[in-house]
Amino acid sequence: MSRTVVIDPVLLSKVSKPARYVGGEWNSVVKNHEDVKLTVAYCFPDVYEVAMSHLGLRILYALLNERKDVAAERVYAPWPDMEELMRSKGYPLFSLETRTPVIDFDFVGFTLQYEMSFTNILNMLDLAGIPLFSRDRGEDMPLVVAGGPCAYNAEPLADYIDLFCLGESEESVQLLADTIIAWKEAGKPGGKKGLLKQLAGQQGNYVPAFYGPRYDEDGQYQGLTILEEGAPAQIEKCVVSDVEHVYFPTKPIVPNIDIVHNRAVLELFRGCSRGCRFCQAGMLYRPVREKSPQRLVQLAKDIIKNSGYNEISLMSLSSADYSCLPELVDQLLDAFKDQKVSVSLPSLRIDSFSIDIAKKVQQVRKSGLTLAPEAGTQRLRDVINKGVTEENLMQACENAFKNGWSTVKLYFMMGLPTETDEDLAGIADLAYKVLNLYRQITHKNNGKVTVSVSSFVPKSHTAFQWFGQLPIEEIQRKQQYIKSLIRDKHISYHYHDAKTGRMEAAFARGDRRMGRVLYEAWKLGCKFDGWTELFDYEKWMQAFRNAGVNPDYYAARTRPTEEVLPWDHLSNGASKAFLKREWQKALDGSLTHDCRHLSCTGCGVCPSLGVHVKDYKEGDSHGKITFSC
Amino acid sequence: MERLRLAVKKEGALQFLSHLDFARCVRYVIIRARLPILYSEGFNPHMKLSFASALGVGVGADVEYLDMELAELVPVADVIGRMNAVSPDGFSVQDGKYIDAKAPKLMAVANYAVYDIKGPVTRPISQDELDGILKAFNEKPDVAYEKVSVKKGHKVRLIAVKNHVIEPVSGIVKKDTVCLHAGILETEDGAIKPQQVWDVLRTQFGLPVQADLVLAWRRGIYVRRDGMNYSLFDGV
Repeated sequence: MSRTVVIDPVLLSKVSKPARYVGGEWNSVVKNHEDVKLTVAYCFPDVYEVAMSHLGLRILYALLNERKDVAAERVYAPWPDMEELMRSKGYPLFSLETRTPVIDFDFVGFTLQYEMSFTNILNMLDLAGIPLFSRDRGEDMPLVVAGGPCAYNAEPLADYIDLFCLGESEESVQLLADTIIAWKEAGKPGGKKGLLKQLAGQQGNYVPAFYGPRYDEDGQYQGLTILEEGAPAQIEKCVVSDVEHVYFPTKPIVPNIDIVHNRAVLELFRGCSRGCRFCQAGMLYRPVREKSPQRLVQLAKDIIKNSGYNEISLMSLSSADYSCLPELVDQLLDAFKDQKVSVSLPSLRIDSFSIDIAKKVQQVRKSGLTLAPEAGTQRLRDVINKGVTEENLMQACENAFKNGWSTVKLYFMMGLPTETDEDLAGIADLAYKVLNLYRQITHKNNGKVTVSVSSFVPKSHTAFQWFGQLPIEEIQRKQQYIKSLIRDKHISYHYHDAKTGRMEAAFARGDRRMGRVLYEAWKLGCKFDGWTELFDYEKWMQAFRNAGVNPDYYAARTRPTEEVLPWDHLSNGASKAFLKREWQKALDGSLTHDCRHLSCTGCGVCPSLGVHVKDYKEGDSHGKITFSC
Repeated sequence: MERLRLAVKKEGALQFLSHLDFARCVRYVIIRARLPILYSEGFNPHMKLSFASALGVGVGADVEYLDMELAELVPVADVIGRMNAVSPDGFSVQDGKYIDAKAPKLMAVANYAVYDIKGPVTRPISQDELDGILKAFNEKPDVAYEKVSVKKGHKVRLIAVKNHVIEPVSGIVKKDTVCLHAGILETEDGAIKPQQVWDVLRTQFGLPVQADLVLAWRRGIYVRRDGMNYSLFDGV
């Protein structure tokens, strides 16, 4: 009989937002553990409102719960006040559905969405009573699995996780569940190691304990040695080839408290091949694969009917790129016209077309408009392969202002390769041009432009993976420089803390030695590092000192392209040669086109994974010759 | 337009919701039940839905009332069945009745609420001792509670407790918790919170409990007139 954690309601009512910890939401799935063969605790290492807004885990949760033989439940990071209560009263970390202690599950799966959530993973394992290091976990402990974008550079977490799963899991998670169930039913042959050996042979699976890192006498990373026979040298991501028919949940959990994105979500397509050279998502989720408008409308109707939501968000990496967007929006507006359901587009492309669509979906309230030129000059936009011009931006804004919008938010990055002060001045120039355009069109003296500038973090598997992050002092100087150029109260300027970015960069390009830093940081009490009010840079610096690791070695160093990288064994299907070529083209300021519409650009994903681009306007990519350069 | 009044329960997971979150949950239930509810006009249409009270975080209720305006008459049993089929854990519709479209608002007539107020004791206490404390409170003609407003710059307001607690408070000791049973009347001066009654007994009558370790559960809400409690279904 499984145990349950019962928290005294009097005590629970004293923590902030106790509803975070009680479950019971509409469409959540509660099963008796006696009736299933496998129990899964899906953990998101952040607080409820953030965790519940994440689509990926919702898909896997619903998908596994469709199976009669599996119970999948949710576990989120308790906010510090709840953690304090749990630790003082001895409540272990528990699941929302059945309040079962996490330690009693067969399989504990973490999603790795951002590096600054890593301390929360350690903290959650500790709260669960599960030893942090995989080598310390005995046969009676759950299998600790992780997936998500940060799994593509798994090394900083290698000592803590038993198994990483790369890529899209809708299909592979079924095999994973089947494999574990079969192993359990066969009497767990070979113990946990026997199971991991079997899993290591399946696509997308990386068992870090089966590999050992090599360093040269200077401490330079030289690659991994395979310690277990049969473990592959290269792990390739899993990819869903038929996105049209892949499982998508139509009974979303409806939270009882407000969450960050509290609305129905429709995924239009996977992937984005615009090829922005800083963008990791654009590389990890290739190729572009669309769902048909008919399928999307049917899904939308079911989701709205089953949830009661009055808003549906059209999600994708770049939703305005969906080839049938105008038709889809018309069909959705028509389907919901008597139901007070609105349609929203989270991201807009910088062109007049996007504004026309936005106009359609925001027929009533003209809330702010967000556009992301990313860089201030054409030269730098070409370096990053952001295929937009100032003319595109001005046309988009003109269309918007003529149609009643009055506030525009512009997103930029700083600290990009080849960047000069002239590029930064270009950011301020663009902001003024947009504001002046508004005044010219509306003959009004108000208007509002918000400029938001984040500092660039180099990520693995991108063309900029070799480029070092600028020192904090230089980022701060640049932040102040832009500030000095903006002197209009109708332009507001925001920038991000450079210190968080530095930690992110160290993990994003770190090797297994960053795992020691993580452990030291957790011991010093670091948690919820993505939350400004809880991030403690001094503690992190102490953690680096305690671990004897220099953050700049990972974050700030521009690496030669021939250097062995800690993620070389983890493949998204793209070739390193392609990234090298893109890196060179960036330095030359030359553009690479989008293979969704034109010829193959040779990243290698389609031929190496056996998938195809699917764009309903361009037709199937059958006949398009794909290659790896 | 048809005005339907429902008696609903707030318990389980929903006990921990604020009033705004609870109201949102109820709206989702109404949409999922596909009831022909009416909306306000304007750019931001709102459901024609109102509640008898605003129950706070942690406060469960055996009964809460809500009024909704429907475009057409749907049999009460249908409404109850359809809503309960699509309700999350902790919400259920108990009863319903169509009322006069011009009847006064729930908020305006519901003026008497009965609570169980429960929390752990700081030292062992016998039933006799509790009875003695409650007797002292019940027999004292005037009791004042100093309410310190955090929002309004720590302004102190005096609440005449006995204007609101007009029936004797009873209570039982169960192991290491005390559970009080108290009715609270809302007057033109407002009301007193169940936790404040708890605090009065703690600070002025020596009830051995902690100020903040307390949970209230509403057993009922009524229209009180001439010393009698009437149901919100028919006392209007």
